[in-house]
Amino acid sequence: MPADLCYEGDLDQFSARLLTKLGYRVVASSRVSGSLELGGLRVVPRAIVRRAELPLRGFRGVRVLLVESEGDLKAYQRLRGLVDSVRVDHERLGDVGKDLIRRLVGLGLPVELVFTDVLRRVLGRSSIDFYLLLLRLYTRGKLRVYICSGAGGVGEVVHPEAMASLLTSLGVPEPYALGAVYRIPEVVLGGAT
Amino acid sequence: MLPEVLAVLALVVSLVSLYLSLATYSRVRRTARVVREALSAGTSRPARPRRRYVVFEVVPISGDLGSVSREGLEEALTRAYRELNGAVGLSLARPTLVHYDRSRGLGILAVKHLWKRQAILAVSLVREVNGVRVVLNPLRATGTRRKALEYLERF
Repeated sequence: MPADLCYEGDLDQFSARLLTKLGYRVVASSRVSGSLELGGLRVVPRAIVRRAELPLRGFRGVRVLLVESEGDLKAYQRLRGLVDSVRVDHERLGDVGKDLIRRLVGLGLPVELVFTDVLRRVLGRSSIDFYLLLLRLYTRGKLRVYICSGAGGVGEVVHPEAMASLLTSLGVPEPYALGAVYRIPEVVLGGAT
Repeated sequence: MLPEVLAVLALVVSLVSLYLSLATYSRVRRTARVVREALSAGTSRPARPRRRYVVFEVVPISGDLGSVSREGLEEALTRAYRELNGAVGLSLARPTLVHYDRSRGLGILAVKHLWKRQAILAVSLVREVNGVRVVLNPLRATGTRRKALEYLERF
């Protein structure tokens, strides 16, 4: 079941129709407060939280932990059950150390990759070493990674196959790339809702 | 006292020899794998490039679908592909717009099968054609042009 777990744009009938046309059945958005059905598209709430804001009380939806410093993953055992996935703010974090990677692996939660961020860095000739490291850990089975669009509007949405294509272009074997687009988001959704 | 010392010594020697034999075994195994891979890489035949036909749909976000011309679309696709994969990649994959139905906004992009994924990504990157904001929706990839056209007729 194709799902976009980080759609940031407005949700109306037109965008719902377009997302359905592209094959999405579920979208997680931070612009809704409760689950709803929009022209055949299921929309679930999503919250991106910092470590200090945890635990989120009374929230039903996808909870994503934003990691901005190495300290955010300290005592990571306490995070289990409080968040559904992790997003690493690579730009704010700067240099990624071994400790952070060890903690990410130890935490065992899926790591969120944003299609628009990766593509912006690729097209801007910026370093994508961190993403390649995450993807290498994913193909070796140490980490789970999923990719979402991060689209800020209907004009930026992409087909799920395009996201899989980006991963294969970065050297991820096709079955793993498809898993990061179709299977792992479903697992995250299953645990969150 | 002496038998105990000898027994401990024998135990230490046996453990060291066990470690050395295991380490040597793993190193030999790794070397053999590397050699085997290097040999097989040299002998494997390169894949013969075949054509794939990616059927896609042009969805206008703002503006009229009729304003999206075949030339404009072809240029936008080529630009997107070159931006992603460079001039060499473009020349290897040779993405060509073989069919475009302007009234329905349906097109077929032919590409070498080895670069089908890159073509799908390039198709999804096209955001504007002839001043019209669009989203290109890749629908299906087929092995022959006839099947792609059949799919378009049924769509």
